[in-house]
Amino acid sequence: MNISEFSAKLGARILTGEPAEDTLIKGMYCCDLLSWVMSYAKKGSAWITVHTHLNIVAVATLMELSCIIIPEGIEVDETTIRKAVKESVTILGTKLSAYEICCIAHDCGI
Amino acid sequence: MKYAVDLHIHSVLSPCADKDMTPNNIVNMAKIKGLDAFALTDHNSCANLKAVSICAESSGLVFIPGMEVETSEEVHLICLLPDVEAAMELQRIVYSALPPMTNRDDIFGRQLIMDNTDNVIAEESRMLLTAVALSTEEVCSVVRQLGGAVIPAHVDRPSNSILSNLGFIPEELGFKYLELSKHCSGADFMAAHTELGGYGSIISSDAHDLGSILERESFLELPALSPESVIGDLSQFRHISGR
Repeated sequence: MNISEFSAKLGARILTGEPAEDTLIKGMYCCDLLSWVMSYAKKGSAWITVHTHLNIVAVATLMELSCIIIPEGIEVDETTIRKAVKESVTILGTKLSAYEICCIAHDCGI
Repeated sequence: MKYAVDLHIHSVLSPCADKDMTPNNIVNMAKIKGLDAFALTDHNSCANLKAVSICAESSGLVFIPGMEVETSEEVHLICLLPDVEAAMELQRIVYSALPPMTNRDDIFGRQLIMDNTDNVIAEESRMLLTAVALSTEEVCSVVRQLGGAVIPAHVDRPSNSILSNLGFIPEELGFKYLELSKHCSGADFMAAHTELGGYGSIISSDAHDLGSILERESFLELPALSPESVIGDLSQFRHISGR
């Protein structure tokens, strides 16, 4: 499933412009310790985090994650969004909790 | 007597720092700004301390060797040591607790090690901008065993601060001061956090560029001006009634 399709399933907002159609979500990863994500996240995963700091873009780039999902309606800093656009990292925002996002991902076969 | 200090400054060794943050530029800017003492605190490394300490010798400024350690809980701690030798021992311990990852300078930036003439003598390949496998308690314990002092960094910020990451400050860690960011109103912050009433607050720049280094705006009351007196003052835990 690509990012736009999954975003529609979540009813999420794409905060960073249209994602590439051929970028597929290959798994889910949920963690808020950036150093942990940098060690253990798997390439192609969609990453759920409550962090909105600029550094999440660097972590997503480093680990080649498919996208970042910010749960619970958390506002994302404008500087983070600008950096993500520049680095072609997609950020989704949703009112759902991390648990609800994972349930939908499971139902979608991710 | 009151002395003007800036106890949180990064050099070109920190991947996020400006390329102008060379040993000589930092010392000369600290002097122009009118500081009495300053500390160099790069992320998880002390590799530029020697060069900066040589540059500081003839400057008339007191130099305090330091490191900004990122604990396993991603809490940033300003660790200040009495001399470069003690700092290098802390570096040995921190390096052995770093994850085996190589820095990606295209994403995080370069990590330059310089001599006292601002020549690049090496580039650190370890990934410095991450957490080490030492808890906040362990880092405090190691630094104090080395004769140093610890200040939790930028506690007013929403990331990498002991308040944001641990929720509250464990009293047994025995901090005297909490660091506040340059643009934070110390009075407003402490008024909003009455539970922190027993702590002193100290503003530091967290300078990643030369212009951000503090002027004479953050002071310590010290019996004399030396690394030992600064660390001595930071180490004594101040008990205030009501805590």
